[in-house]
Amino acid sequence: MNAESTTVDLEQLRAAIAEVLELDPAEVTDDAHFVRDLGGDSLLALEMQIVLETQYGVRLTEDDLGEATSLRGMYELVLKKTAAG
Amino acid sequence: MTQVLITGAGAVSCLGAGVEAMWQALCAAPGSRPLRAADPGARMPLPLVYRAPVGTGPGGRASRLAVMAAREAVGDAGLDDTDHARSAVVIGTGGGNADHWERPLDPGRTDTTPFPVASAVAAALGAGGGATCVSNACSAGGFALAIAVDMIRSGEADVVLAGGAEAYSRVGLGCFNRMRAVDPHACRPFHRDRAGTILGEGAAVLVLESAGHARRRGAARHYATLAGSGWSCDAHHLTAPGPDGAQIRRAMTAALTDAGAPADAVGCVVPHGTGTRLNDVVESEALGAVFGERLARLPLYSLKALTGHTAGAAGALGVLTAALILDRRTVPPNVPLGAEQDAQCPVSLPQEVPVPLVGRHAMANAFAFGGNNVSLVLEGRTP
Amino acid sequence: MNPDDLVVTGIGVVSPRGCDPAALDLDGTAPADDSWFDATAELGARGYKYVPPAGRYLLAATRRAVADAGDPLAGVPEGERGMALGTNSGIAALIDAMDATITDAGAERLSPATAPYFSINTLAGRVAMDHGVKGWNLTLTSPRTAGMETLLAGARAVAAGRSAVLLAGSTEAPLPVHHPGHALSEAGAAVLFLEPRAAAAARGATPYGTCRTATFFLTTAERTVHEALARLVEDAGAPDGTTLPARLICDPCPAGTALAGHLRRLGVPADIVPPGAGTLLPFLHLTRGLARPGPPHLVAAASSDGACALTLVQPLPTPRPRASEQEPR
Repeated sequence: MNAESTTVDLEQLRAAIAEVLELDPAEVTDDAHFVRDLGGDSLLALEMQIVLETQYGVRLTEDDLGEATSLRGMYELVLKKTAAG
Repeated sequence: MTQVLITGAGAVSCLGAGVEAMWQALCAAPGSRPLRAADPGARMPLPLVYRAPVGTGPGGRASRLAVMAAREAVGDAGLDDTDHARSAVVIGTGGGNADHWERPLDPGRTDTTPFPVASAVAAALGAGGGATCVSNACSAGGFALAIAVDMIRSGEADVVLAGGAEAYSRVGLGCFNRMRAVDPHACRPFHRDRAGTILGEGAAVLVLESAGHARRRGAARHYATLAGSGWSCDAHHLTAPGPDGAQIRRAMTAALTDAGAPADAVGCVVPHGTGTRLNDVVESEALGAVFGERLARLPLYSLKALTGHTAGAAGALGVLTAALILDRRTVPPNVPLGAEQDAQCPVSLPQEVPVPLVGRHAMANAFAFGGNNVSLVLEGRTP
Repeated sequence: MNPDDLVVTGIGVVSPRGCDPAALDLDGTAPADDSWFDATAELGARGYKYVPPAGRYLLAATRRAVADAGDPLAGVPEGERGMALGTNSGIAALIDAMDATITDAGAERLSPATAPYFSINTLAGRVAMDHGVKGWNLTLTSPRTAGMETLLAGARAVAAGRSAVLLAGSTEAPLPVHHPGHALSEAGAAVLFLEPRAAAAARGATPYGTCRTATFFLTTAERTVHEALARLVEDAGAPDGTTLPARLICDPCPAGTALAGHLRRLGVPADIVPPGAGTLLPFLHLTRGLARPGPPHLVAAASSDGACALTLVQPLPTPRPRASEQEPR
C-alpha cells in the first residue's frame, strides 16, 4: 500500500459525493443507494466520476461506477484504485 | 374543421438535396455510415456526423439548409408571390446557426442569437405572415408542422411554410459525447447493440395549405392531408424519457383523435427511433399500447437508420417521409437489421423489398430532450 | 367578453430592473451580471446547482407567477398544463463556455450534469419537471419577438384544446463577454399565468387583464400588416378620436421604421424604445402594462431581420380588486 491511499478519507468522500448530489453529507449514509435512495441518475454518476477522478487522481471506468452504488462501495473502489497507484 | 394539405415539399439531408433524391435513397436502403466531422476543434471520442450538402450564401448553415428546402417546397407547390405575401413561416431548429457561435469566432458578427432561421426563410421567399422559430430540440420540426396546422385551422393563415433544419454543432456533438449518447458505429435504431444515436444535418420544409386556398389557386396536387397532431411533455427528466411512456402514448392517441382516425386506419409509422437504448424500448412499448397486437405486423419505417438523427429537422423529415409513403402507397425497405433486431423492440421493420401500403393514414413521431413529445397523423388522398 | 378568452391571473418577474411588475424600471440599461439575483432566496439552498442562470431565473419567475395567481395548479390536471417560453440568449454564454472547453481540453472535461442544457428547450423542460407541466411545452426562439409570440402560440394551443391553462414567459441571460452585442445583454425572466375567464371567475381570481398578439414579417407584407394591425386596434375598442398608446421596441432598422410608419398611418403614434439583445424587454413592457391599471395599449417589437410582433395589452381600467364578490387574494 503506498502513501497516497491514506489520503482517502471516508468523510471527505462523503462530502464530495454529497456535493455532486446536492445533499447534506449526513444524508449520504454508508449504504444508501445513489440512484434508488439519493436521486442519482446516469448523468450524476458521470459527474461523480469526473469529480472523484480529479480529487483522487485515479481513473474510474464507467463499469466501476456501475458497481460502486453506495458510499461504502465507492470508498472501497477509490481505496483500491489509489493503492494500485 | 379546415382540411390542411401538404401541397409542396423540399428536403436536404445526407441522402442528398431534393425530395426525389431522398425517396430514391429510401428505396435503395443503402447502409449508411457517418463521417468524422471535418472540424479540428471537435476534441471528443466520437466526432461523428451525417453531413448534408449545404449551399453557399449568406447566413448560417441552418438558415441555408432551411432556405434550400423552402425554395424547393415553394417551387413544388407552384406558389406565386401573391400567395407569399400572406404566408407564414414556422421552422424548428434545435441549435440554429451554431457555426456563427462556435470557434473560430468572428469579432465582426452582429447577430445576437443563433435562431434567425425562420426569418431567413421568410426573407428569402418574401413571406409576410409571422416568422416563428421553434426550438424544441429533437421534436422542433414536428412541433413546427403541428403549430402550422393549428394556424391554418384557426384562420390565422391559409398557407404556412413549415418544417425544420439542423446543422452541425460542435457543442451539441460534444455534449452527446459527454453524456455517452453516441454510437461508435452508426445510427442503429432498434438494433440490439445500439449504443446511442449519431446526429445528422438536414432540413425539410412543407407547404401546408388550407384545402380551400389550394382549390382556389388551382394547386396541381397534394401529397397528403396533415390531419392532426398530439402534444405532450414528460416533465420527468431533462434527457431520459419517462420510463412508462405514458406521455408519448398520450401524444399518439391525441394525434389520432385530432385526425379523426382510428388506430386501425394507420398503415405505417415513422417512429422517433434514434438508436438510444432506452428511447427505442419505451417507444416500442408505447406503440404496442396504442396499436395492440397489430404492432407485430404494422410496418415501421426507421428513417434515422439512413439519415442519422437530424434533431430539429427530424420531425419534419419524418412527416415528409410519411407523406411520401402515402403519396406513393409504398413503404420503402428498412436498412436491414435481420436477426440483430432487439427483442425488446418487437416492432415490424420490413426489409429487403418495398411493402405496399395498406391503410389510409400514417403516423410520424418526434420526441426530445425536455420530454417534448409530438405525434402527427397524415391521411392519404382518396383513391 | 368571451368566457373562453384567456386572462392573466398571475405575474412573476425576476429582473435587475425590479421584481415588482408594476414598478419595473424599463429605461436605460440594466446590470449584465448575476449579482442582483438571490438564487437561495428564490429557489432554496439546493436542487438547482447544475441549472444555468437563465433556467434559475425562469424557475423563480414561474414560482412567483403561480403563487401570485393563488396557487391554481392543484386544481388543474398535469395533462392540462401548457407552457410556452421565448428566449434568444438563454444559453448563449453556456454554449460559448462549453465550446471553449471542447476546443481546448476536450469534451471529456464538460460537466455531464450540465451537458443537457446545451439544448435550449431544457430551460422550460426543467420548469415542467417542477410544476408537472405535462400538457405541452414549447420553446420559441425567433429573434426579439419570441417572448410576445408565446402569448399567440399559447392561446392558439389552448383554443385547440391542448391544455386548459398556460404559462407564458421569457428568460434571458447575458451574452458572452467577448460578444460584440454583450452591452445589450438582458438578464432575468418574466412569466404570466393565463386561464380562461370563466375558470378565473369560478375560483374567484381577479384577472390583471388580457393580452393578444399578432405577428408578421416586414418589409415584404403590406397587406398582412395592415390587416393584423387594424384588427388589434379595432379590438382595443378605443373610442373614435382617442389615441391608442403604443411602445415599439426596435433598432433603427428597416423593419422597425416600416412598422412605426404603419402604426402612424393607423393613427397610433409609437414611442420608440431601444431594444436589448433578446426577447425579455418587450415582455417586461407588456408585463408592466398588465400590472398597472389603465387604458388599452400596444406593445410592438421588430427585429432587424424583419420579424415583428404586436401585443394588445388590456389591463383593468381601475386597480384590483375591483368587485366586492371577489375573494381576497
